[in-house]
Amino acid sequence: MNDLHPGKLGVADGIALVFGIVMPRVFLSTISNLIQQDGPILWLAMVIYTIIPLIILYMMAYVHKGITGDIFIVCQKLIGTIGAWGILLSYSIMFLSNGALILRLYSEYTLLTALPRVEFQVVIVWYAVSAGILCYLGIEALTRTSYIVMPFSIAAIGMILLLLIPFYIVYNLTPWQGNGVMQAVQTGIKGAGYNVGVLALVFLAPAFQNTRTIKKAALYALSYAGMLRVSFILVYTMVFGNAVGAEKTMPLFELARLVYLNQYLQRIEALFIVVWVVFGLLAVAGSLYVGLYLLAVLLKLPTLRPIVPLGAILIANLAMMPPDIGYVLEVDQKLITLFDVGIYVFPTLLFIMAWWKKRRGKLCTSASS
Amino acid sequence: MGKRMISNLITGIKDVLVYQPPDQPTPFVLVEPRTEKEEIDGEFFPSAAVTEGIRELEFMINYAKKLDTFMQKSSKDLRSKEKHEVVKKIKAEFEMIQTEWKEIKKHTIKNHSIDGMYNNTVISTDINENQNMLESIYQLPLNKDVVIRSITISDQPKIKVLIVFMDGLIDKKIINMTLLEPLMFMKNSKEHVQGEDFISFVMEECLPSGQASRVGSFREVQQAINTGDAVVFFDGAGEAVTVETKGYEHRSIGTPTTEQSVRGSQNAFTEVLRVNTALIRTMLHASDLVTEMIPIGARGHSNCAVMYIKSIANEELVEEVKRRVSSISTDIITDSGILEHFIEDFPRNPFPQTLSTERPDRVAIHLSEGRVAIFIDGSPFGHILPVSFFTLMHSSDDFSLNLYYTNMLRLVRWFGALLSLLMPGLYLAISTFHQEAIPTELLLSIAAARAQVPFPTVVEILFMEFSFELIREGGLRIPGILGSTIGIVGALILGQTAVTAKIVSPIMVIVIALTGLASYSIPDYRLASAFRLSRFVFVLLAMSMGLIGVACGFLLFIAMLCSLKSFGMPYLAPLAPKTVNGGDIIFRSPAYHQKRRPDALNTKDEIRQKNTSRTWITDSSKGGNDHE
Amino acid sequence: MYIRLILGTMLLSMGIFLSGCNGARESEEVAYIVAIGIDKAEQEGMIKVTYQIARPNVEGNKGEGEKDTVLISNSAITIAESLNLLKATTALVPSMSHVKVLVVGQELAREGLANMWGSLKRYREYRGSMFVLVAKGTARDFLEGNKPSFNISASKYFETMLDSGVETGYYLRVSFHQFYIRLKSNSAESYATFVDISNLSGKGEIATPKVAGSKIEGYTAGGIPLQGGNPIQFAGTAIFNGDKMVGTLSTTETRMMAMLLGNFNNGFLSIEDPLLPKKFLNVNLRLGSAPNIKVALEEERPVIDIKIMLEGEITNLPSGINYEQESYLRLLEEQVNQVCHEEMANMIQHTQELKSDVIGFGYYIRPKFTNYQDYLQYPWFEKYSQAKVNITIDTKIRRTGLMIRTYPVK
Repeated sequence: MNDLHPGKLGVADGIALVFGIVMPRVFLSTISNLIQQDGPILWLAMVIYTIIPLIILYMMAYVHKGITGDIFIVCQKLIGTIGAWGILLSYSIMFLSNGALILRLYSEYTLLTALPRVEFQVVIVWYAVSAGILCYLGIEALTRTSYIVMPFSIAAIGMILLLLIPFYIVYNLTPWQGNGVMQAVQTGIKGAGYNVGVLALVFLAPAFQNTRTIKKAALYALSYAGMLRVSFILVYTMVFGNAVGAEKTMPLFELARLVYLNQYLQRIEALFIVVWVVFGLLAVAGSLYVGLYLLAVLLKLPTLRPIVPLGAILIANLAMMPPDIGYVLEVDQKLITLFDVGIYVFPTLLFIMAWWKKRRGKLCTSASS
Repeated sequence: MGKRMISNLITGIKDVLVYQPPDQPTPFVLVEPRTEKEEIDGEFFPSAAVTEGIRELEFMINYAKKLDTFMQKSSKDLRSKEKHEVVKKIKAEFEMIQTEWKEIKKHTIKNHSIDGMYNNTVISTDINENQNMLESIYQLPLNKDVVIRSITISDQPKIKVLIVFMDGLIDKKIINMTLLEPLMFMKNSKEHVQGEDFISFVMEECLPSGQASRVGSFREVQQAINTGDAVVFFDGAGEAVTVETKGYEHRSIGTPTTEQSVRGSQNAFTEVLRVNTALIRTMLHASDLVTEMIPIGARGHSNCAVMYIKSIANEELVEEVKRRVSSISTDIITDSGILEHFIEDFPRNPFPQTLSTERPDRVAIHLSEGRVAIFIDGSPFGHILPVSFFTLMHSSDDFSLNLYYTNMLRLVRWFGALLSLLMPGLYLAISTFHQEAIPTELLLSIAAARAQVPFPTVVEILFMEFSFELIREGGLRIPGILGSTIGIVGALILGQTAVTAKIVSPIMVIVIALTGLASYSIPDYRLASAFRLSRFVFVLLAMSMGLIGVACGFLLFIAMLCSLKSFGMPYLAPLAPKTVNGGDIIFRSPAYHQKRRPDALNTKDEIRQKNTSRTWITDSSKGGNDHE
Repeated sequence: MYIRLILGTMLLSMGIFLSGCNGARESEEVAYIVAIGIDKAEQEGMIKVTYQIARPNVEGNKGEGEKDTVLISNSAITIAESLNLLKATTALVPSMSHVKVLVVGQELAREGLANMWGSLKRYREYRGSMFVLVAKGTARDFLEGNKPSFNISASKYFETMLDSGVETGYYLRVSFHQFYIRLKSNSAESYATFVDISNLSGKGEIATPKVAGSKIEGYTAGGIPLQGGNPIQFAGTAIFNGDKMVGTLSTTETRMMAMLLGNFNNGFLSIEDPLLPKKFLNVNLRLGSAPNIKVALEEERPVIDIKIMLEGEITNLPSGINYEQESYLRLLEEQVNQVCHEEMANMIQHTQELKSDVIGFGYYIRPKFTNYQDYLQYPWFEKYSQAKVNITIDTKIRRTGLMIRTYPVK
C-alpha cells in the first residue's frame, strides 16, 4: 500500500486506463494503411484485434493469480531474475515507445489540422508537459480523469458517426470478402499487438482491488474499444470507400470535416479536435505511466513521481527524432512486430511456466499425500 | 541704532530667504520594541526571562528559608519565654515577613503577566489576592470593561464576595435579579457552613440561575468572564462560581443573504455561536446530535463548535476534525473561513473543500447525511465537511421544488458553470485559431465589428474581464443605497461607450456579460470565484494554443479536481472514484428513492430510509375496507 | 501541490511567451473566400482562378449599392500557385475554410481536371463539403453575374440556393466529397450541378423535348425563360466520364436521376389529362421508398431492374373530371407511370450514350462479387452502355389536395 499501489482502483478505472491507451490508434493513419490491405472486410480484422488480447489477458490473469506481489516478483518466480528483467524492460520500452509514437503522430496531426503555423517542437513539448503533469498526479487521478471524459468522447465520436448518415453508401462494404478473409484474419492477428496496452492491467494488478476487477475491466474496455472501432471502421468504409479511404491521413478528422447536415450544422471539426486531443493526451500519459511504472518496479523505487519529468523528457526527445512523417509511419509498422512479441511471446511463455509449475506442484502434493 | 536696524534687516532678510523648518509636532515613529536579547557568539548568556525566573526562584528559596527560621524561632520562643513580649515581637516579625511575601508576590505576578495568560494559576483562598490577580489580568483600573463588584453577604460570619463580569457582555437585569439580590439578601444560614460546603450551599440555595458551575483555575475564570458570564469569588474558598449572565447585543436571526431561496426555511445563522447551534437543534431534533466545544486561539479564546450525529457520522472523520481543530495554535480566529484554512487538506487550491452556508436547514440535512459541521464564535457561517464538488453545485431548495424542474435548473447551473469557466477561452480560441467553426455570416459580422478595434482579441477579453471584476469589486464597496445603481450604470455605460469608442467589439461585450452572468449561476460563492480564477488560465491557454490549449487545460483541470480531497473524501466522490449512486449527484432522483446516504462518507448507518419509504402505497387504504 | 503550481506557471509563461509565434489570426485579418471559380486561361496550359471574397460589412464604410463581395482573378499554372499569387496581391490573408462553392468552367471541365482535384483535396483548408458547380460559360462570368435579388450575403445565397434544389429536383446538390468519391470509385461516375447566366430575355431554350403524355420540357441552365431577378440559373446536371465532363442532363432528366439516387423529395409533374389530352393535370410527387435497383450480370450484357415507388398528391385539375374517384385515379396513376417511365428510360439511354454511369448502378453489382479484386477486374463502365434496363414505376396518388371534387364552371 504505497504510492505505487493504492489498491483502490476499481473496474471503472481499469476500463478507462485500457480504453485510453488502446483506442487512439484508430484515429491515426494506421486505418488507412489497413484498409488498403484488406478492403471492405477490415472490420473483421478489428474484431480479431479485440478478441486476441482478451484471451491473452485472461492467460496473464491466470499467471498472476497464484503469486502475490508485483509483476517483477511474478516473473522472477517463474523464469528467474534475468528473464524478469528482460521481459519487464522490453515491456517498458514498448510502452514508452508507444507513448512517444503516439505523441509524435498527434503532434504532427495537430500541426496539420488545428495549428498549422505553430512550431513543431512547441507542440511536442506542450503535449509532453501536459501528459507529464497528468502522470505526476498519479494513477488514480489519471484513470479517474479518463473515466470522466470517456463517455463524452465516445458520445462525441458516436455523434460524428451518426451525423454522417446522409453520406453512407452501404454498397461500399461489398464485396464482403474484400481482399480475402484470410488476409483480414492475418491482419487481425498481426495487429493484435496494438492492443498490448491491455496488459497494463496485469502490470498494475497490485493497484487494483482484485483479479476479478482486472478481468472485468479488460472485458469491458476491450469490448467498448472493439465496438467503437468496428463501428468506426464500418462508417469509414461506407463513407469513403476503399479508394478514397486509403488516401486519408487522418480518418477521424476527415469524417468530422465532412459533417454537413444543413447550412447551420457544418464545419464542426474544430470542436472535435478537443475530443481528439483528449484521447491523445490520455494515451500518451497512460503509456508513459505504465512504462515508468515498470521501470520503478524493476529498480524497486518507492515512488514514481521523481522520474516522471525524466520520462516526459525522454518520450518528447524520442518523438522528435524521426525526420519526417513517412519515417514515423514506417517505424510504426516496424514497432508492431515488437508489440506482437509483447502480446504473444511473453504472455505465452509466462503462462506455460505458470501452468507447468502449478502442475508440478500438484503432482508433488499428490505424490506426498 | 543704525547698526541694530541693519542687523534686524539682515536677520529679517535671512528669515525670509533661508528655509525655516515649520513648527511641527515631533513625528511619531513606531519603533520595534527593544528586545533584551543579546546574541553574542561563543558565550552563553541566559535570556532575560530565564534570569528573571532564576532570580524569582532564589527569592522564593530565601523567603522559605527565612520563614522556616522564623517559625522555628517563634515556636522556640513561645515555649520558653514570656508570652506578651514574645507575641509582640513575633507579630512584628510576622508582619515583616508578610510584607516581604507581598513584595515577592507582586514581583511574580508582574513576571507572569509577561505572557499574559495565567492559564495555570489556581484560584487562591485569599480574596484580595484573587482581586490583585484579576486586576493584573485585566489591566485594571486601566481597562474599563471589567467590573469588580465586592459585596459582603451573610452577617455572621461576614463573608466578602467578589462579583466579576464584563460590562456590555452581560445583561444587567440578570445580574441584579439572579446574583446580587439573592446574595445580598441571603439569610444567615442556620447550619454553619464553610469553605467548600458553603459554595455548594450558595449554589443550591441562593443562585436562581440556569447555569452555574464551580471553577478552580483562572483559565476557566477568564473564559467565563470573556464570554459574558459573571464569576463570583468567595473569601476563603479556593474555587469560584461562574453564573450564566450572557446578555450581549447581537443581530437577530435574519434571512439568508447569500443563499436566498424561493422555497425552504428563511432562517439564517447569526454571529452568536449558541444561537447558531440552537437553530440547528430546532431543525434537527436528534438526541445524539453532539455539539462539542473546542476553544481555539491563544488570545481569542474563541469557541469552535463541532457538530455531528453520533450514530451516523464516521468516527474517524469526527476524530480527525477534532484533532485538526484542537491542534491549531494561533492568536485569534474570528471567521470560519480562516478556520477552514487552518484545517483543510489543500489550502493552496482555490476550490473550496468545505461547504460554507448560512442556512440551518442545509446544515441539518448534511448532518443527517453523516457529515460534520463546524461553527466558530462570531461567524454567521457554518462549514460542512467533507464535501464533494457536486454538493457545492447543489442549492438549498433543490429538494423543495418539483423533481423535473429542479433537474432542469441543475442542468442550467452546470451549463452556466461550464460557460463561466470556458466561454472567453473558447471564444478566443475559435475566433483567432479556428475560424472555420464559426458560421460564415457570424464570422463576417465579428470581423466587421472588430475591423476598427485597435487591440487583439486577448487584450479585449482581458480589458473587459478586468472592468467586470472592477465593477464587481467596486460595487461591493460603494455605500449601500448607491451600490446596485452605480454598478448597473457603470456596467451599462462602460459597455456602451467602450463599444462606441471602438475599444472593444460588441460581441466581446456579449461574451463577457454572458460569462459574468453564468458565474452567478454557481450556487456556492467560493466555487464561483475559483471558477472565475481558472477562467483566466483558460484565456491564457487559448491564447497560446487555441482549442488544443483549452482541451489540455480542461483535461488537467479535471485531473486536478480528481486528485483533490476534502477531509479524506475524494472531491469528485460519487463519480470518480465511482461509488454507489445515492441519487443526488448531477441530477436528483425523487426524495423517496434516496435510500442510501452518500457512499463516500462511509457512515455508520448507510441506509437512510427503507426500500418502501412510502408505506401508504403498499398498505390498503382505509376508505374501501371500512365496512369489514 | 507546490510543484503543480510551478508547473502551472511554467505552462502559463510558456503560453504567454509563445503567443507571438503561434499563428493566431484575428478574425478581421483574414479574407474569407466564399466561392472559387476555375477557368481555362488564355495562355496555354494555365488556369484562371477567380476568388469571390466576402467583405465584412463595416459600419459606415459601405457605399450605396456596393457589393458585399470582391472578385479577384489570376492566372497560374496550378491552383496552389494561384493561391500564392492571391496571397501576394491582397492585404489580408486569404482563407479557404469558408468556401461554399467551387465553380468550374465548362471548357476546362471538358478537358479534364485530374491534376487539379488532388491539390484541392490535400490542402487542409479546402473542404469536402463545398459544392461543385459547372458553369456553361466561364466561372468568372458566372460569379460576376451573380446578383442575389434578396438581401442575403453571397455565402448564404449559395447555401440556400443549393438547399432549395430538393424542392423541384431540377438540380442536385453535389458536395466536393461526393464528387471526389465518385471520381475515384469504380462504381459510379461524377456529376455536378450545371449553372449559367441567363440573358433575361424571357426566351427559353429547350434541351429535351417533352415525352408523350407529358406537358413539360427539359431545360438546362441558361435556357430557362426568365425575366428579372437574379440572372444566374441552377438547372440540370453536368455529367462526367472519369475526370472529363461529357455532357449535361436537363431539368427533367435530372429529376429522374434524383429518383434513382433516392434524393427526390418533392416535385411537381405536369402531364396530359388521360381523358382530355388537351388539358393538363398537375401532381406533386415524391419517392414512396428508396428505389429498388437490381443489376444482373448476364453473359453478354448486364440487366438493370429498376422499381420506383412514387407517392403523390393532386395539386391541379382543370379538366373537372372526377379523378378523385377510385376508378379514375387508376387512370391518372397509369399516366404518371407512363410519363415517368419514358422520361427515365430516355435519361438512362442518354447516359448510356455518354458512357457515364452517373446514377451509380455500379454500386449494385458489388454484392455479386465475393472478392474485391474480382470486382475491380469487371469492366463495368464498358458494359454499362450496353446494359438492358427494365423500369417499373408504381405511383400511388395518396391525397387529393384541399379539394375532394371539382364542380364545372357554369
